[in-house]
Amino acid sequence: MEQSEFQAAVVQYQDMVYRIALHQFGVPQDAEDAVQEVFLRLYMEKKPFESGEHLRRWLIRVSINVCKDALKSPWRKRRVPMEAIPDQPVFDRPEERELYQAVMSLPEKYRTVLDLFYYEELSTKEIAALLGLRQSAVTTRLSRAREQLKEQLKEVWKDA
Amino acid sequence: MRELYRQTFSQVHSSTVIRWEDMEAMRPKKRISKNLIMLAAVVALLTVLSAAAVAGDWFGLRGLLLPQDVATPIDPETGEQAVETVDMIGLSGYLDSPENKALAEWQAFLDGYDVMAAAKWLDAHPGAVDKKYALYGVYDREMAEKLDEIVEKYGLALHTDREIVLPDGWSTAAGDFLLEGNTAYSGYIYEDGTFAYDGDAGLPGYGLVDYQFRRSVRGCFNEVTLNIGDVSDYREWTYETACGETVTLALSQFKGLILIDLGDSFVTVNVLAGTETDPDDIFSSGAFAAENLENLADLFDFAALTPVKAPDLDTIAENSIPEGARPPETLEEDAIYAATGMEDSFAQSFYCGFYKAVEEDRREDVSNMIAWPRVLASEKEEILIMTAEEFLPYYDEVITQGLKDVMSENQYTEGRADLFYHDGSVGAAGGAVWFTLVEDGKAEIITLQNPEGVSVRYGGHIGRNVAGVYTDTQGTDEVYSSLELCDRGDGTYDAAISLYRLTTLDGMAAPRYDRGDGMLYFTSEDQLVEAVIGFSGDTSTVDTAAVTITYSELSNIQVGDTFRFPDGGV
Repeated sequence: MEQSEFQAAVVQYQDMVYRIALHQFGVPQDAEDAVQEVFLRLYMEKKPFESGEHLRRWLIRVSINVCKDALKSPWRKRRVPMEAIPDQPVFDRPEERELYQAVMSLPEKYRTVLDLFYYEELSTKEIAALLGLRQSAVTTRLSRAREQLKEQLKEVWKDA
Repeated sequence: MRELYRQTFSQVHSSTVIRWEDMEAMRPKKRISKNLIMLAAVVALLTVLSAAAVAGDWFGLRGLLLPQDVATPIDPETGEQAVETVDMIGLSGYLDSPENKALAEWQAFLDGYDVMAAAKWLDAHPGAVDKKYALYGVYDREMAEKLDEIVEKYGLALHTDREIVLPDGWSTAAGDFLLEGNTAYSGYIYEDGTFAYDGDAGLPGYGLVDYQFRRSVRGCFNEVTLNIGDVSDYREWTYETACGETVTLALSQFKGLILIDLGDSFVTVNVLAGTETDPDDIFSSGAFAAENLENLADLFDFAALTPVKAPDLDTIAENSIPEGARPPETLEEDAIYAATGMEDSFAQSFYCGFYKAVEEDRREDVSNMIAWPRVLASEKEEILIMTAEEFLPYYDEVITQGLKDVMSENQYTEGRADLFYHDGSVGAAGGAVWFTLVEDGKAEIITLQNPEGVSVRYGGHIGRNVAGVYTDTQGTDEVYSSLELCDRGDGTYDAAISLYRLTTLDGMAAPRYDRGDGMLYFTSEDQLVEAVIGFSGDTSTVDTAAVTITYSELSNIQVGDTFRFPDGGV
């Protein structure tokens, strides 16, 4: 990969990688570590990408894998309560802050499918392939996540 | 919802500075090329290193070194060969200890073994590896036998259990070894007192430093190793802590280590900071000096960790996090979980319950464990059955003595059966029974097929185009409700479900090729409603259809509602 392509990928996709990692870890510091690791792998990747979409999918897959590897590590067992998470973003509207907090308080498995489905707009089939799950398991997680968000965010959910 | 979600998370930004110029420096300099390592050479090196360690009386970092992996991979582009090494340390004790010798031998075995192939084998044979290896990376019988051989040779035991310890649980679990300003987060503790956690500590003149702590109790085999980069980069010295314990300290550009052999256990503190911490790292408090490492060592009372007391795992479990939030405990369960969404123990328990219900002729229980709707199919007819109650009159046609016999033959013991899986579902009795997870913590039977050729299964449209209009006239000329399916040409359908006096739902219906179950799965355009659509009929016609709601955010349509369309075909 050429330097210009690499930098363009960083500009375009760094936040996407961070979002995916943040949904997996729930901890900004771990997510930032994952961002660095993912782009290091991009730097070392020798095969050319066929298109921007190919690159995006590759980055999503690598982000998921990097986070999964880190979560399996015997050293990474930190679970930080929501109120202890530093550096929460400042949101424009209160309902956005509530949604962020509600999502981050969900179990990891729900957070990840929410991000991939709602933000990255992947299909449940694609998510299933990425996470090594059955499609029905993804659908179940999405339904459960929606139910829990609905329960936590009664007013916000109604307005949305 | 999607819009709010996107709006919210579009405001979440990464602050890491990623620059092309930094990448080369970050590229791993040393990689392990395991497949090319000759087992014999490594074992020979182990012998040499062991002898050297004993002779040299090493009780520093080098005394922990595992045999260095030496490889000669051929670069496919240049054709050149290079020697690549990596410095790993064991976290179970010094090199001449039985624990570290066992670990070195295990690593040497793994280096010459096709672990990926073994993992794939276990994928296809869930339950084939005994649960006693659940806390280890053992994927087939050869690995299991090798591990048994090694632990026996060195007089060690295998871990049998572990529990999560929450941040406020360490004092009870392991003793008062943390001094003020030193914080442990969640981690694991094993049945013998071996434990690991991530922590941080506030140091005078430095600030907060992250570290990883591990105590390995003597007598058990531990697989954990730590990559320390290049051992020659480390400065090492001994230091007497504020509590009067002598520790070995080691510090490099990127990492610090605190080591202490307590006799009945070995402690490693892996400090995530070094003398040349990246100035662009906004989470770093700056370069970590020898004085800082000594200050960190002062925040532990290592003497409080000995003698080792075995923890009360039951009490720890009661205070631990909910079951659903725990990571998968075993590799065996991982494989089943990854393929089917359910753990091995859960699958065995569910099937055992079904087997007993069949054996004891508890017909309603059996019926209620089957996912409805289903098609009851025999040579002469197909009948669409929507509920467990509707199935009872047909019970004896399906649950025959022949079916009971094949189920009985399938049992290893009363509580354990020969289970396998395919396409996300678990099979039993040689394929006579199939079940799957329908939601978290709940499984249902999806297929039964007896030796006489009668089956209960998803029915439907496999091999047929089911496009058309299905209606419910309620015995009149007027159409009250209808289901309209329009073929999109790719196996999926545009679907319109008009429900009398309730609503009209537009969306898409598609088969799930990963399940091959013949049903169509409907999702409304607004994603507020999901449903499953079943069909009955022979191979050329479709007689009836039924829609069962599986998800609903509409107040007038409930999950479990079934709407039948008995009057229309294609």
